[in-house]
Amino acid sequence: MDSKLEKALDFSNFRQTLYNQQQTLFSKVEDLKLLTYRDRLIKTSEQLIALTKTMIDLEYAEFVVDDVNGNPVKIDDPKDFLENIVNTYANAKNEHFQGYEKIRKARSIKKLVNFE
Amino acid sequence: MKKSEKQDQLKNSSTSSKGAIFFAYNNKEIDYVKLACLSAISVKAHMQIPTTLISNTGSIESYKHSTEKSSTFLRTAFDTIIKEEPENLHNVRNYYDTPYASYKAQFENSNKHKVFELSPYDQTILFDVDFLVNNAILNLAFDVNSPIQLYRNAQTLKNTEPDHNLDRRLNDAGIPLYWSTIIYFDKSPISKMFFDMWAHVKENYDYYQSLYKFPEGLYRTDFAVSISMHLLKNFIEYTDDVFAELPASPMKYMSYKDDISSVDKNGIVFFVNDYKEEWKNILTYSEGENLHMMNKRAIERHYNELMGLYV
Repeated sequence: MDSKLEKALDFSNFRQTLYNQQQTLFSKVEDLKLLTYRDRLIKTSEQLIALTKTMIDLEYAEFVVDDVNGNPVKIDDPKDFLENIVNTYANAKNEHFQGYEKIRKARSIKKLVNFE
Repeated sequence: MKKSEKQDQLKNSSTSSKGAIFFAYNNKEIDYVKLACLSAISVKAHMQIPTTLISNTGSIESYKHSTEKSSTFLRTAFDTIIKEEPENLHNVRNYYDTPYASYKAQFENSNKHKVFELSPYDQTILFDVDFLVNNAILNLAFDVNSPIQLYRNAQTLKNTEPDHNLDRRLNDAGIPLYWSTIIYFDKSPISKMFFDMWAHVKENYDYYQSLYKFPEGLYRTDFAVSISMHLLKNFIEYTDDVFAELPASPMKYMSYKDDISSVDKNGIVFFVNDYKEEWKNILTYSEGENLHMMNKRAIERHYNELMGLYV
């Protein structure tokens, strides 16, 4: 096989593996964003954190958010809730960053899949 | 007292017990008890909950005498062993090990719906023995106010939807498939209704096969569960908090045609087979993800290394 073509195909294999590892990391991080609050499953996000902080700043004693199934959940202790969601979200994104850095630095399929 | 308050009380009670359950009946090809030990040890390592094995004397004794370490693994893996004979119905399954090998063997899954009566726990997660737990995310299921939780969505190691239509729907235009691989349930009347419905579907499997038009032959609990859900949801597909998806959906799975390349101290390197061009594989690395490992022979080939992830 032409060496240029071989090199291109190797690169294409590498990119596919890289993409797959990034997707795997992404879905792992999405799971890490989950927490339970008052018997409901909630996914943390930048928007949820911003909303909660706004409600606290505007001195709402309680407010309502949606769980993962779209059901309303009453947040009756906004400060405690904010602490929980910030912790969960920060841990998830920290994992994302660390995993991403590891993938970004890998220059071969073997390195990407920890084969060495 | 309202029903939901009763459920809250059940969940919040300090005496409410939580645990994992595994059914394992060996056949001439696969030592299911051996697989159950690995799965249960992965549950203990990451979820820190008690475990129960439901099996029969033949399977347990056969495993105990298979290697020197077997009895130790069995004691480490399970807090409780319940002996329950399967129904021994003719149910021959076609297993694959990569695209290049296949074998047939009797598959005992006829009494899985009896788990509601057999479970010693107030809150139970029923696991298939080929499921490896690599994080604590499923512990969230115990804190969610949904009596039944299972996966509707699954994903291959390539992070794509299942290749086979039968892993998505019961036929090309059929109802969605719910996976019976992992089922969370409590001891509420709603959960009982679900398992009673499962028993009814199993008893009338031929009728439901002709109605829902899925392939004849093998009794597949995924199909029985999917039909039960459809009936209990009044023939309409929707998501609610009574029959909810388990946390961390979609469920990731290694298909029968994938293989394990190697296992290191943190994770597993897989050969992921291309469904359409079976001579092609890509490598993927999985670390910290829960995995449904369909290729059981691949687990057996790397059993000790996989056990090394948890002990």
